[in-house]
Amino acid sequence: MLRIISFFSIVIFLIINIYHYNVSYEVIKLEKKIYKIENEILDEQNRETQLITEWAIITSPKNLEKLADRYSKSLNLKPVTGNQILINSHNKDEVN
Amino acid sequence: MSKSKAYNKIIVGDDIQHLLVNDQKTNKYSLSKDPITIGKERLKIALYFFVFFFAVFSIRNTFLSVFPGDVISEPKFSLALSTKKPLPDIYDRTGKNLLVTTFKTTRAAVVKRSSFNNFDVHKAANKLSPYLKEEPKELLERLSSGKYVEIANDISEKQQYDILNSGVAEVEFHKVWRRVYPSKSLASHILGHSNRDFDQKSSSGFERWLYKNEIKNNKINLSINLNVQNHLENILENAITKYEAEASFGIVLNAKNGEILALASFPNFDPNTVNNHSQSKTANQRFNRVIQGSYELGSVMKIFTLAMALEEERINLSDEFDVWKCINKSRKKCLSDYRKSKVQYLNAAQCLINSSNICMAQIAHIVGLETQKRFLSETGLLDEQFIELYEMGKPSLPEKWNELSMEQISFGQGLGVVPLSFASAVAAVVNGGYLIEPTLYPRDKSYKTNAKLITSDVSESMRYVMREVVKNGSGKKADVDGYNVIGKTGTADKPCITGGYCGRMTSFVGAFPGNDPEYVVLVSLDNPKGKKDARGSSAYWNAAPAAGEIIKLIAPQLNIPIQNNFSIFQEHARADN
Repeated sequence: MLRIISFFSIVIFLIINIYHYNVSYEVIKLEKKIYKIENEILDEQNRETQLITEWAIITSPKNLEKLADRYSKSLNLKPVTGNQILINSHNKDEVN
Repeated sequence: MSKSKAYNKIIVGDDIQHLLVNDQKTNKYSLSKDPITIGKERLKIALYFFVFFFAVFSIRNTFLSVFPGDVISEPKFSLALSTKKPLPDIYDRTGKNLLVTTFKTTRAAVVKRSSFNNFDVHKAANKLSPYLKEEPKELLERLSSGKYVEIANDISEKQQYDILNSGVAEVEFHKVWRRVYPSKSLASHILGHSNRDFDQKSSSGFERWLYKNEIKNNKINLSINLNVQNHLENILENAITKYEAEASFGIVLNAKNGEILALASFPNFDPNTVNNHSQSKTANQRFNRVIQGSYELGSVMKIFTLAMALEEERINLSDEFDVWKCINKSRKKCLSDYRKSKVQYLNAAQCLINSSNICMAQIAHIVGLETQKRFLSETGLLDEQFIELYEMGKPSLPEKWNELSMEQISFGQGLGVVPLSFASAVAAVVNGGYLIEPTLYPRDKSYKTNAKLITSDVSESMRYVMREVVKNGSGKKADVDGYNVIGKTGTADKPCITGGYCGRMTSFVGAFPGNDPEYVVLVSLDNPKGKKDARGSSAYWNAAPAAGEIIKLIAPQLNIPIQNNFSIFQEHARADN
């Protein structure tokens, strides 16, 4: 009886060890994959922020002002005046 | 014991010596236990150990499978920790980007590993120097100084590409979090700046606030309106060259809920590059005059003297004062006005319109020293203001608040106030009497404070008088058609560090639209000079027109339609006549 129990214990012990080894190996593999994917995500995010930054620079008031000045004659552009604004108290919140 | 045999002599291992029993009668030895029993007992102990360990093992396993969350460690290779944004992106109230956080290659370093024995420093220095804009000699010196040499900490994509193509294999690139300010110097005094390591010592402005309060949101909307900010900055910058001023600053503040729409101080800086220069060299640019400075703003303070007297019901707007009177309390000469009045008696409203110092000193005497102190402390001018920036300055109070300083403060000398506090106090005077707390975060439309500075009736009278200042008085050049601008000019002598006064400080504080002010505008110029189209150096010639230009540009941007009903003003005017 004792022998059988000992034998099975050792067998189970070995099986668990092998299984554990496999699992941790898998985990390392997956972690490497995560690392790769995270890097890709990061690259994508960087590309996105780069575009956002570019967009922010292009649409910054200073830049728009320059463009407006350059084309004000040909496009007949003028600053907005108070006469052009017609808002009543109802839709004022939406505009802001 | 029955099974064991007796022996004359017995040889056993050391480990079971203690089990030998010596029968003294026969002088024979015997074992107290049968060897097989001993073996079985030992195996049993081993079995208990095994059972114990397996029990622990299986219990742990069960726990792991049932509650995995708390035991799974951070993945070894993951960047998850290092790639979290250190600080949030910042947007203005309309959703325009003020600040972007990017994780990009900015650091390049030459790493000399032992495997690269044949690393030629001279060659590398010659190859790299054109891309780093550095002399080959200097670079050579740096490269030969150690095993790890950081050659650049702010390289562009193009530089990186060039360096990679140059064929120096020892160069390594590191990605670093960078804060990019796409609008450059725009709103620089609000945003402040942070350095590449994000420590708060070398950061300033709102960046420092974020860092210190550990705000980790992904994005933050500020109350700033970038278009308004741009107009304000353009005009302030132009004013410096136009009037040859040393510095200028301005604020646009929501008069009803205290949102700061724009805040600018000149000279300013570009937060993208400010770290490349030393702190002391850029001190003047970094100094945020609106919140860090405290200035004697001059006649604009008369607003509070009049409001205080009206609120305390000590005078009426129609009460007359002798402006030719000589007030010379502990002075060598009589107190004088900037421009002497042609008539001897002016009523209280005309006193403010003509900006009479003599009259204001008399009003201050009527109200009294204690009331003046109390009223000014209620406005918040005597305390440190709180907004989401750490650099807030303190007002400079007179050493002794006696009757002389009371007179001086009544017309704006002798009390240095922080411009932001001043603007919010003026907002309280014109918005119906509600004290507001300025903020950089957007507030709800429903925001309302219950703290009142003055009654709405007094506020209305003040609006009427301030409208008269712009319509017929010194603020004429600030008027904008259709917006009934109200306001007050102020020209103050600037106190010198060496004592006495040197130079001037001109200001205009105004609000629009006049009948129900929504925004307060404060513009100040430091030491402007009278030239060409600006014949004088008083606020009439510089601060007021600058404020007028600002209001003209920003009012349509803020969706304020022009207003034709002057009902309040007409009623007042009728009552006056």
